[in-house]
Amino acid sequence: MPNQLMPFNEEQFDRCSLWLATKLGRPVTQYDLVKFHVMTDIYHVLQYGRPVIGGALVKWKFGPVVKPAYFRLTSQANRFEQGKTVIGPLAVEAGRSNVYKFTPAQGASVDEDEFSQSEIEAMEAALQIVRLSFAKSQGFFHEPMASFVGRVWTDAEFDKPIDWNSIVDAYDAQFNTNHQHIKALLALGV
Amino acid sequence: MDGQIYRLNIRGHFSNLPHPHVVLIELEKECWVIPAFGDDGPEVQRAIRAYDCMGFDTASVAVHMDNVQHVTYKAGYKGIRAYWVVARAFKITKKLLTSYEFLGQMDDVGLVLLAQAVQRLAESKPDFISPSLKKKVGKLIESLTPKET
Repeated sequence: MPNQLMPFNEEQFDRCSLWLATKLGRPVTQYDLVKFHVMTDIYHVLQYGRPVIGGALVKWKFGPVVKPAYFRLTSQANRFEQGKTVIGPLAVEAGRSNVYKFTPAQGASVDEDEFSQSEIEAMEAALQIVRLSFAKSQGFFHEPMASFVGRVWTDAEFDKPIDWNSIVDAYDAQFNTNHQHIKALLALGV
Repeated sequence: MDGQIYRLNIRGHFSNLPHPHVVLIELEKECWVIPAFGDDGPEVQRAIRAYDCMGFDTASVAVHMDNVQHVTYKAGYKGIRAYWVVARAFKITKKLLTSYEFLGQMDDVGLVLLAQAVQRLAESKPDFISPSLKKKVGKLIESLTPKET
């Protein structure tokens, strides 16, 4: 069962997070960043059979998450709370409750040459999901009738890795497409 | 680290069996690595056909190499004929890569074969590789190709 196609790459996560924080036009939250990661990887896998950032997707309460990405953000928020230097290209501000706001750190800038065109296209598609209202986003990630991701999330076991084949199948079922060639690439794992 | 080969577990492939990955490009905190698969399994052939459907130059998707000729292994390992699947190259942090077992070193001729396949692949599918990596691959070929005098 291919559930991790590439190990989580924290450097790539930081680069993509900075891209999002620069493009979105408002501070991004942990929720925005983990969902952006999930959808960037999903769209790139559907196109190329491999993720952009990597890590296994697991089912959590608020949708699919790559745990090391979530814990990286939590660690940055903790460092902020403790008055320590926050590592990475994003600065942290306190938001409401346990929500933190991330903005490009002083001097941090996106180098678009670090991304392939296919990676940029996957991030642009993921950006559209991040722009959804929280209610619509929750529908997208939870409701089987709302999206292929909601279908996969509903069928998955809590806190267990999600099989990439099930994501491809759910996408094909929703959009009446055929991604069997992508499943041939998933069989190589990585 | 160019040419260094590490044995990474590939989750989801053959019960998570480890496969060799060679460093083609060393970056500041990451490496761009290419995985290898033995040439006796059907998965690689299926993957090559899949890349054909996707418009890739299938001759450059994977490099069939006799590793005995191009890899110096550490004691206890011997090379086999394998496909280095260039189209599956990915970035991994150095921290994680070096936590895996070091297997050996690919020679310059082998690296140039892989780098040239990357270049051809990037020509047939320009969105496959970032402009930054493409430049670095070009420089690698230049630095490893003997100059004519």
